[in-house]
This record gives sequence, structure tokens and C-alpha cells, in this order.
Amino acid sequence: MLLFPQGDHIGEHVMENLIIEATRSTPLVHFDADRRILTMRGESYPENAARFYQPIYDWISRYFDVMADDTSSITTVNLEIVYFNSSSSKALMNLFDLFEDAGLDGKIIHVNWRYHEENDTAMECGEEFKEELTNVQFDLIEITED
Amino acid sequence: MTQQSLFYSEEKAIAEAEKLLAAPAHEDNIPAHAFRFLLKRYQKLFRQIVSLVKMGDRMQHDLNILNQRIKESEEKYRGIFENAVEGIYRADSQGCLTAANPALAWSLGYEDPRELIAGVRSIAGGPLLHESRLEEFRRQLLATGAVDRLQAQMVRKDGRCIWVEISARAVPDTGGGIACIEGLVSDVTERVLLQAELRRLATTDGLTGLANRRHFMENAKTEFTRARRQKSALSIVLFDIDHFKRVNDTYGHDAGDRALKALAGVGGELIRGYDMFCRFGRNRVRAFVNCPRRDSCDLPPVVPVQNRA
Repeated sequence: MLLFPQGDHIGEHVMENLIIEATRSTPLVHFDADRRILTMRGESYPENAARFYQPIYDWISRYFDVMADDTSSITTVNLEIVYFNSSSSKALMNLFDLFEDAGLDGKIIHVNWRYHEENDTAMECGEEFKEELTNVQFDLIEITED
Repeated sequence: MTQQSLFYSEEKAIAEAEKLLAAPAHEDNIPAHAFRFLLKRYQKLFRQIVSLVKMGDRMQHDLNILNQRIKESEEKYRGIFENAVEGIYRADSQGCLTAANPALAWSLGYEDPRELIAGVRSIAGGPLLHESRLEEFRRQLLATGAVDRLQAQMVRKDGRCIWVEISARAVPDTGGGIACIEGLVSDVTERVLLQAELRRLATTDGLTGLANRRHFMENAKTEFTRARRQKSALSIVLFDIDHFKRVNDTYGHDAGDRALKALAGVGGELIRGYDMFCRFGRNRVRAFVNCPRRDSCDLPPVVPVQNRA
């Protein structure tokens, strides 16, 4: 047992980062518990969206459990999903539900929905997701060529 | 954790609603909190459905535009493929033909690409004539991933041979192997034959068909070098046709030409395949005789013989 526990590494509550490499049909997942930066980038049209997103939900649930009553740390969620199929959009809605519940629980969550300046669809989808969230800060960030 | 359905929360809400309705005490008097719960769930579901439909339509719209672009691009490149003057083909990683354009089918004597693909298993393993060229093709493709204008002979469906230049590239797959092979086949028969004819014209004497003086001199340089290096003997025989002017003056130039041709014929028969017999001047012929060993040579080494009959 550590005499001077630091950060989240308290006893059994050691939080491993979640890293899933991108494939042609699934995005890169890079969730860094120490830095509190959760990143997903790429396209999302897996054959089985429920199976792909389940470990992501599990990790996030555990992450918020470990945070417990921490209502001062900011968790930043960077999402840059260029294209996603219908199942993935429902999966993303479920993901935002987890963030919304955590926000309701007092945790501070900033979501950056990043989209390319020419990708109107990604922007409009970001707006759709944003509408449902009231306890999460949701920013639409346009990526320009330079 | 076990895998949940994407609609886990909706399924849970329905199950809860069913439980509320199933309770016998509430059959005719469903409490307000149950209605509120259901309404809240229904409203959320409604918002989600609206969002999902909107997003689905947007994605579909984008896909339609993308499909249209791909179609246009495909038509553009198919046009190049179909109308190209040169033969273009695609083969799988084993070299088996999977696609060919009409130009390739026609140059190999087939009606259309379909007949070519059915009749020829692979370009490299089928119409290519010589095993050494096939080996070279394979070697270059495996070593560098590409073959650049490899000249080879191919046999057409009717058995006729053509000269071709093959360029190809191995398209890599994601695992570092070969996904397929794309190739270009140009029929260069005319060019090759023309080059051979030009070479023949530049090196032979038009009247006798013997090697000309320039060709003889070029070969002489090589033969002298070789003889010096191998310390072997080399003989040159010079024939000078005596009184040739008189033949021409008396019997005419046609007769003179016939005499030269006759001499060329006799001389040509006397030498061996690796000797050289040439017309050196107007009325002079000269022969190279290579002797691998001095003692086996029929003629004394490097002695010009002038036979003035």
C-alpha cells in the first residue's frame, strides 16, 4: 500500500489507459486517465457497434467510479469522427448519456466535437448530439487546413 | 462486463413500464409517476429518433455524392482502359489474369478480353515464349516491385510470334504481400523487325549479302583482342579478283555482279559458322578464320593470302 497515494493510483483503483488502434472501420481510441483526456478519431462503421463500444462504455463507467466525488477535475473529450453509420450514431448517443449522467453527478466534462471545415455533415451531427446535453460543455471546433 | 444491446436503456424502460402495468393493483389506476416516467422516456426516444433520422439522411446524402463521384471516376478510367491502344491487364498475386482490355486481347489474336482470360491462364505463364524471360519478369517484380519495359516474345492464339514490351507493377496489400499485378503490354513487333532490318542493312553488302567492310572492321577489332587475350591464332584471307575490270568491260556489269555473287556463295560455304566472310572492296573479298589452337589451324596464322590467278 502506498503511504502517499497520488492521483488515481489508489490501492486497487489503478486506472489503465484505454488504447484501441484505428482500423478501416473503427476509430482510434486513446483514453488517458492520468491526463483526463479521452480521444476518439477516425471513422466508425464496425460490423458490430455494440461489441466495439462496450469496452469503451465499461472503461468510462470505471473512470467515473474512480473519480468518485471529484467535482473539480476537468475531463476533456476530443471527438473527431469523420463518418459513422447509424448503429454508431446510436452508440455515440449512449456514450453522451454516460457523460450527461456524470455531469449530472457533478463531474466537469468538456466535449470538443472536432470536424473539418468542409465536412458539413459532421458539424450538423455535432449539433444534433449537443442538443441532448445539458450537464456537459459541448464545443463544436472547426479544423481548418492550416 | 457483459455486452449490452445498443438499445439497452430503451429495453430497460419498456421492461419497467410492463412491470408497472402488470401490477394487479394498478390495472385501472396507473399512478402518475409511472406516466411521467414513460413520457420522459418517450420524449427522449422521440428526440433521439429525430436526430438519428436526420443524421442518417445526411450520411446517406454524402454517400450518394461520393458514389456519384466514384462512378464518374470509374467511367473516366474505364474509358482509358477500354480505348487504350496498348494492352493493359490485371492479374492476381499468383499472376492469373483477372482483367484485360480489348487492345491486349486483339494483339494476342483473341476476339475479346473474355476469350483471352478464358484461354490464357496468365500473361507471364501463358503467351510468354521463353522461360528465361519469364524468370527475368518474376525476378524484377519480386526484387523491385516493378518491371520496366522488358522485351520478350509472345505467341498469339494463331501461333504467330510477336515482340512485346511488358511493364508491370506489384500492387502491395496491407500485410506487405502482393495484392495484385497491373501490367502494360505494347506490341513492338514492327519496331523490332525494323531495327533488325536496319542492322542488317548497315552491316551487309547489298549485292552479295556478305558482311560489309565496316562490319568486318568492327569484328576485326574484337577478334584481335580476343586472340591476343587467349593467345590463339587468327587468320585473315584476302581474295583479290584479278582482271575483274575486264569481266565488267567485256560481259557487262550484270555479269560482273553475278561473278561476285558466285564467289560470295562459294566463299560462304567454305567458312564455318563463327568465321566471317566479307566484301572488302569493289573486287575484293576477305575472310576471317578463327583458330582455337595454332596446330589445328588449316591456314597459317595471320597470313594474308593473295591469290592472283
